[in-house]
Amino acid sequence: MERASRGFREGLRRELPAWRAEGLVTDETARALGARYDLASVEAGGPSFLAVYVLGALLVGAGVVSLVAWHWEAMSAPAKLATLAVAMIAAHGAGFALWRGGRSQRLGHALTVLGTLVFGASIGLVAQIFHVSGAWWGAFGAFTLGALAAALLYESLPHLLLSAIAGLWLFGPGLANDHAFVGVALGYAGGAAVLALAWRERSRALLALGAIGVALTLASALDALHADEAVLPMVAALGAALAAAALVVRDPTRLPLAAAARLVGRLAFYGAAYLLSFHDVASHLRFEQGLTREVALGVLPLLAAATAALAVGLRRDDVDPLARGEAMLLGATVIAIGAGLSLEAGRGAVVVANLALAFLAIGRIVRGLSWLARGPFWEGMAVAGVVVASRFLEIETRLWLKGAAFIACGVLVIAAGVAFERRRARREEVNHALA
Amino acid sequence: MRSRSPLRMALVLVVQVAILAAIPVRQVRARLDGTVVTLETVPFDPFDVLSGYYATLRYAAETPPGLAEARLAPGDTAFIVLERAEPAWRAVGVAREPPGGGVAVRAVMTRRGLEIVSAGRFYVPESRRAAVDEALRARRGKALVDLRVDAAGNVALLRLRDGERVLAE
Repeated sequence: MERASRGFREGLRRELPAWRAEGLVTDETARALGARYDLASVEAGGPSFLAVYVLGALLVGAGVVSLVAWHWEAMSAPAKLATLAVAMIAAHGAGFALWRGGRSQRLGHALTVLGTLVFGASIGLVAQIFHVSGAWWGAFGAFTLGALAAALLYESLPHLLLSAIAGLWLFGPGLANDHAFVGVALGYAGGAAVLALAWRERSRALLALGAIGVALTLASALDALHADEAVLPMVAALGAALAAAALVVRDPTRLPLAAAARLVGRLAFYGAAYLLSFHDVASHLRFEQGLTREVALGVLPLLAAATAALAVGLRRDDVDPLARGEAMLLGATVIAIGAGLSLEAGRGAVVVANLALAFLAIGRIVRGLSWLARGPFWEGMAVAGVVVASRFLEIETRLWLKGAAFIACGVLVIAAGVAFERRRARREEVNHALA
Repeated sequence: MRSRSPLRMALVLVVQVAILAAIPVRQVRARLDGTVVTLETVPFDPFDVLSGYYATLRYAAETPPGLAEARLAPGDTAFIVLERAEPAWRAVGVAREPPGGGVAVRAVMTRRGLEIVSAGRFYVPESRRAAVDEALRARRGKALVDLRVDAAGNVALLRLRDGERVLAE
């Protein structure tokens, strides 16, 4: 059976009878298409169905919690503990039975997620019953462990996403704020674990959520170490590492994951470089003490990962040259930004950040034009437009000059967009004619 | 899920229940074989004594004699040695290791000073919140807390009192 999207299969299933009736395809061709895309089998429901089930399970769970809360204070501690245990075991048990039975797999999966959420709520309630005090992030650490165990044993992506969010968005930043060096170690170890699990599951969502979590954890650690100036270079280095990691991917089934790594890497880099393109920001964040141990901890491991991935990517002939160039640009720019922030007033970093954004934008526009693809073209146009507009707003000059510049930019964007869309339309006409 | 063995679900439940059981293990140990001690609380945040679901507590015993000489760094664990007194026990010293005899509670040096962190929150039932809040405000955060302390310095909170009147338990 050929892999195809749910939408494509549904569309084909809908259209095929009409094509047969109109004589566009023969009965034999229709049968061959049906076999190729397995149109006879019932759709199990896409990820959106699982989300609906999880949402439904959450609402049911909230209703049950409200009913229990009605008498919660009147219950003894053993009764409270028994209620929590029964709720948790019932959700996991019912979910597993449905999942195992094979008839309502997604509903069963959602119920196991509800069981883990009940476990999470129980952490707070057990702490309340026994008057357990402690740092707020400890509860999320405990939840991460429980959700991760469920993720690995059930082989469940929603559980993995839950544990990534709890572990790297909440537990990590909290821990890093109180124990900075442990937080740095958790940021890197968590990042490596998320990368490995995203690779195994081929999950773009896990990769994106994990990357955000690593940035949050490391940023919190750097803040606790009084090295705020390293936060933006760290985000840029994370972007470079992700863009370079995409070059290592050979497995064709994991190419979408590589594309997601490039996209997340670019977005991270855009954000960091854009903020550093402002003179006031760069001046405030300059490395007054040079490359300190704290700055090095936040940036160098990511830069080393980017360099290692680039070294592998540069040896390969089958890598997209633009992807390779982009990854090299990002890696080199992080080093240049670091050097620029070491200079007086951080002016070097401002120049480098602006140039890097301009080159990236041009690269995306060129990719869009050469492939006649809307995504890269408009991404490049948007980046270029935002950078140009920001520079005009930042520069102290006469108002009429700013107005004229904005009008010129607007006209340029419209003209470029119209030209691009016309070119696309012409190419489609040629393709139709050739077909 | 490739394997559908019930063992997997059992393992998930074992791990999650084990985590839940580990959360109050120190408190349970202290409840089982600890000595009942009464400590006096001191004003901490008089404008927000009852923050949401729990009262944040600081204790008079958290400034024991000899604290400055102990030269504790943030993150260091120490033991506050207590001596029976009325109406509340009082701190008579601080040690880096649990003292052999007597009663001592485990504390941690934080940015705010020495804290009995495991006794820092008293969860108050919703029906008692208004009364507890009113009583604590009237006494500017001063109250008595009964707790059990075991040989390792672990504590389990038992009740919050205003003199002989039990505010919450």
